[in-house]
Amino acid sequence: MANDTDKPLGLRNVVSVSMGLIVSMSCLVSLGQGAGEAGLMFIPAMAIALVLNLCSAACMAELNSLMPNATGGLVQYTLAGLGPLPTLVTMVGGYLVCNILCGGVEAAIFGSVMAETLPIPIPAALWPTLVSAVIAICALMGVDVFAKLQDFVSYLLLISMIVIGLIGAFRLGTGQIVVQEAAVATDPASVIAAVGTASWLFVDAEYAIPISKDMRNAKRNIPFGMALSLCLIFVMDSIVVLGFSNYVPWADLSESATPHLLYGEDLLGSFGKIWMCVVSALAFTGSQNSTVNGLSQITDGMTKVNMMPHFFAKKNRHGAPAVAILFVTISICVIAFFSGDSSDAISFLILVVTVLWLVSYIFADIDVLVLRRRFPKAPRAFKVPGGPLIPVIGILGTVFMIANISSDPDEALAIWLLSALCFAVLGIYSWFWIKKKMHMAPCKPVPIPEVLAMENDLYYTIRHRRGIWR
Amino acid sequence: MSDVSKIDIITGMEKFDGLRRTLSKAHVRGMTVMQVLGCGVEKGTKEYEIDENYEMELLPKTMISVVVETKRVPELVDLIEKELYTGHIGDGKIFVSDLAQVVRVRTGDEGTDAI
Repeated sequence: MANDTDKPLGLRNVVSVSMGLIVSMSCLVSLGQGAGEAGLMFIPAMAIALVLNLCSAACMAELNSLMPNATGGLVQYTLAGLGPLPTLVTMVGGYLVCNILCGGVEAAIFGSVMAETLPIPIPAALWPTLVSAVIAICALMGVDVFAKLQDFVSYLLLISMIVIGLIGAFRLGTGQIVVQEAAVATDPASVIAAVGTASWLFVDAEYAIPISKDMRNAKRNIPFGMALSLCLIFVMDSIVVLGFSNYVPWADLSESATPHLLYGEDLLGSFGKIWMCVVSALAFTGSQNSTVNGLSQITDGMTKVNMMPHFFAKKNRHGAPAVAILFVTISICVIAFFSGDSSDAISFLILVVTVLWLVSYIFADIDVLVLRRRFPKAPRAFKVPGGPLIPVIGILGTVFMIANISSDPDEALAIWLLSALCFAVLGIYSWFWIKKKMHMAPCKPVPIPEVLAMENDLYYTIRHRRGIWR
Repeated sequence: MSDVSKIDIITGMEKFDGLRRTLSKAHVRGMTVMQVLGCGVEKGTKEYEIDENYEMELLPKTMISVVVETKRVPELVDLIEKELYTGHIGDGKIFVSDLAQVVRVRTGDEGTDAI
């Protein structure tokens, strides 16, 4: 086992990984459209969403302190808290499929934005493919190179956004200053809708957890880093919303498909548009880098507990899960190629699997309560204060997000029904996989020492040789 | 109950460095370290194995002994637990016992004055 001081990652890496995934291109769009619909009221809405997501992040941090060296994070937590069936359903449907689909669509949008903005005769699909290839190479070179790329991209993105936000907030831009009402809508229904939109600006902080085994003083850095990254994003987004208020009419923001590019253009002309295009590229690179690394680690973690075929565990000489990295990268590129930036079907499908993903958050909050009851005296380096209050708030917050998955009631109903169908199909698949491949009781929680023993490659090897695991 | 207690910690060798640092930060002054052989209730069975060992297999471990004021024991045990905890089998055990007397030979100090 590596000495703690020899580990390559520290607090700044937790912040950059969390922030990198959260601040994706779709978040920039949600930020502009949310601000367009609520005006400056979007800032308090973001504050409420921040608190809800801090609750979820704190629960994840407590689970991490209970199982500090678990490769897959949520995979192992749910396995110990609720058993193999809920784990397999939410991790395959909620995490793998959802994030690969989101990554693919994000890549397609990025390609379109680059092709529209930059006067270079390169096909739109080539941009995300090039970036994905560079990211895959960095990920294959090990966690150290991944972290350096992530640091560079995330902090440059943070600084760029704050600077362009401050230029707008202090009315230092070259464009026409807009005089408009501060808040577009202040009725409770609009504020609730704004909180629903704002919630998407803070999800995914838990992607820092899979790197905890490579982190110095992970017991302190994981919870502190996740909270810090969420707070930094709140500050950054608030400054940008203030900038929006001075240069872009709220109606234009809410109607634009790329409100961040509109802001850049209205603030500083074509230079501002190119600046925001670079910001988009940074956001895409950061989120793709976190996705590829995080998903490959989660896939590796699922392989260790025999929930994925064993060849995904194959590592290269840098210790990176090479097959998993290539699988995630190629899947994202294929989705990007086939989706295009305006595919309604893919967007709808993303919302469906997002419900499964959000259910995995609810399971994490339930895991906290279950494991507290089962192991009340286990020494947790980080324990969420306030007894069951914060996990319950986390659950309610996530239920709220599922309830507000779409502003169109008919679409929302269709999403919930299709999600239930996905749950049923995945449940049947998972049931057979667990019975045939794992020979375990589907809904019986696995003891923590056994879950952690699965981290050792010999756990699989011995059971595979004796025919217990197939 | 006496004013002075002894905390014996048996854990894996790889955890010693972190524990030494933690105890130093907690102003524990002095410790005795021994390399020992032993096993717990699993009889030395590795965590990934299926069948439990029939006979006890002794594994190399480190035993750290510190003598502290009794009133500091709960705080220090909590600190040690958090430092050693990984959730894996083999994290270790902590034994706390009363000490009837402690004497510093050089000065003749006794009890808490001697630690």
